[in-house]
Amino acid sequence: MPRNLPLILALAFLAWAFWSSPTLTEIAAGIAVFLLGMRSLEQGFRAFTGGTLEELLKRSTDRLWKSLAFGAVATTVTQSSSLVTVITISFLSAGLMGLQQGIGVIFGANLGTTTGAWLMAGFGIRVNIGAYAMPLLAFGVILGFNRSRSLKGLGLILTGIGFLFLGIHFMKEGFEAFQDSFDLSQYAVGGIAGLLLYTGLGMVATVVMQSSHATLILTIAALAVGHITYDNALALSIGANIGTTITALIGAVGANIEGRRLAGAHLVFNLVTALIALSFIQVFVAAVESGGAWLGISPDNHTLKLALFHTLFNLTGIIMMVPFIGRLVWGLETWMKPRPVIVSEPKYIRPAMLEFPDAALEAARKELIRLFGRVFKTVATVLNYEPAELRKSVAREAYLLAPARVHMHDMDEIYLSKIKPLHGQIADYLARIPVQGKRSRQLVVLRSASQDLLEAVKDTKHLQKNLVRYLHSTHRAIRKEYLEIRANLGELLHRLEALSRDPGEDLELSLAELAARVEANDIVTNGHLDQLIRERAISAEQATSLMNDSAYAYRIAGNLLAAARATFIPFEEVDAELREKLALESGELRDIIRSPDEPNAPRGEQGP
Amino acid sequence: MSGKSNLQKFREFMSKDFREQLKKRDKLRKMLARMREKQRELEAELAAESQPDARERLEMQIRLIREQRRKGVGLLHELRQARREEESR
Repeated sequence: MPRNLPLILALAFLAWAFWSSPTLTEIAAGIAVFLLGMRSLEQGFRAFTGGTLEELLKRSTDRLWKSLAFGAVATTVTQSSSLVTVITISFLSAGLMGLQQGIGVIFGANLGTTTGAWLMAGFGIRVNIGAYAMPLLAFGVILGFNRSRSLKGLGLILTGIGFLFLGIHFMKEGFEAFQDSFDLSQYAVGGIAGLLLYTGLGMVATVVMQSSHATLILTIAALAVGHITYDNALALSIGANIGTTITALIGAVGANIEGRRLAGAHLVFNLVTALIALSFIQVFVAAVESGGAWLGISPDNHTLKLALFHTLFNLTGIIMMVPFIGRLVWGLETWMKPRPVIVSEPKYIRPAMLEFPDAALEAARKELIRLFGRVFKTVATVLNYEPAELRKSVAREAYLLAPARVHMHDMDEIYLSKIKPLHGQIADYLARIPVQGKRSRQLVVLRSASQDLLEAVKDTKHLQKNLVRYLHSTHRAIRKEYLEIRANLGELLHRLEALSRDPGEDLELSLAELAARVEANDIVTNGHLDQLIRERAISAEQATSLMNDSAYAYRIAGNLLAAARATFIPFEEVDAELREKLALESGELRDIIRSPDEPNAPRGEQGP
Repeated sequence: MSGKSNLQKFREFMSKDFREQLKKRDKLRKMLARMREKQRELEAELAAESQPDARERLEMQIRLIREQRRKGVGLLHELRQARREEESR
């Protein structure tokens, strides 16, 4: 059986239905145009992502109520809960927001999506909405030809709204024509059976159309002309709410753990809400009647009452679920564990995030810290330290202790298996982030950090040869020098690894202190090498090796420090630029080391 | 009455570069204030410390932070100077 047989059968059935009924064609065309409009609207709003929407998301999710409000408002404005969900997943994956905030946004989005029903019931049914569609489409297409990204986005938004209106118009017209030839209301089913049947139908329709919005609009269009009963319409709207979670679940299959957890929260919320709505349907109907009377909705205006019902049961869901968000987060984190990460696989960067530069850059920064972790292990192993031991804080003397056994490690193998695959993926990812303006600076900083880490590994490979040779040596003086190089790098690795986990408030000072130590330990500039040669403590050949290897060690330290400065704390453009300008250069550090007499005040100092 | 005309104020408000500079200046001021505070903390720690190794480490940190502050103050002067030049144009 061919894989796409169901699709062929569905298309054939539709073709037959269209041939036999022109009104059905109109309704189906209305749905198609409506879905096209939603897609266009979403694409239009995507043109504004990478800026406004992310900025708002960052600022609006530090408190739960703000997350809820953001979800509701953003979905109302964009009329696309899927766009809001996708951005939320990206931010969650990049660690820019927590699961609790993400869940808040999703709950809010559920409420925001109900505004579509209000628009349709209050505005779409009463006026000739098709008339508004035409100018919107014309303006939208003209703006779409523009080169500017923003104007093009605006064009897509206008086209999207135009198509939405046109789709609603077709559906309305179709149902009105249908009414003359066929009465669907004769198939109305009452009681619990009807409730369950139409809930199921709402679910199926939403899964097929991949949009609860479309199901609801179709329901309102059919309800407006009396094709379905009010009770059945209520059940359809409950079904649409359940159906939309299935769409989210399908989308989450390929997502990372954060995306799956968020889809899980969405499923729990919608199922609980639907269950409450189904169990207490009569209570809700009564609440809609009194709420409708209070709002001035006439008792026979079923479409507005349906919109009110939809809002009411989603709002009830939020009120009932919000106190349990903490438990929900705990449950999701307990039951949904991340897959163990394969060594060469990136953990934070995802292609889906590329559309949202802030999230993509933050994910790349975190992935680079992960790469730093591998470089730490590699350098530690080559220096013949146990990486786990090096993580623990020990006295300087312990770093100087000679290793019990000195091993030569296959650096090419380590590089090819541990470093290069991840570095390659990060480099590829960085090249694909569409950045403009201030973010391009961040991209340059991250790219340069990835290069620094790679250089550190390459220099470690060069250092290893003589390090192993002289650590085995019986020549006391040269062995001592290589033990010093090893200890200096070991101590630096220990401090940097600790800072990568917790940079603290004074990262700049900590890094400057480490950089000063690197300068102080450089035997080429501090005169120690000359002294060894003058005193003939080492041979000329040994002096050359030591000079080269000191330079390798100096470069390894410098590259690790530069990568740490670029990646250990989140980037904020002005801060990063200032940090860079205030960082002390090697000449300045050497001056500080050479003149230990402390001045009373910095030269030319004035209070800020 | 301030010497700045409304037109000048409007021009500054509309200028993205100007706004960025102001932002940078404010951040730098905050950073310098934080560094001054840190320096004072370290100096107090140094006064109470008697261990030679710990004293050496604290002294180095103080010298580093002073040098960083010196650079920062220089940068702040540069920013002020640039703004004055911008205003006089």
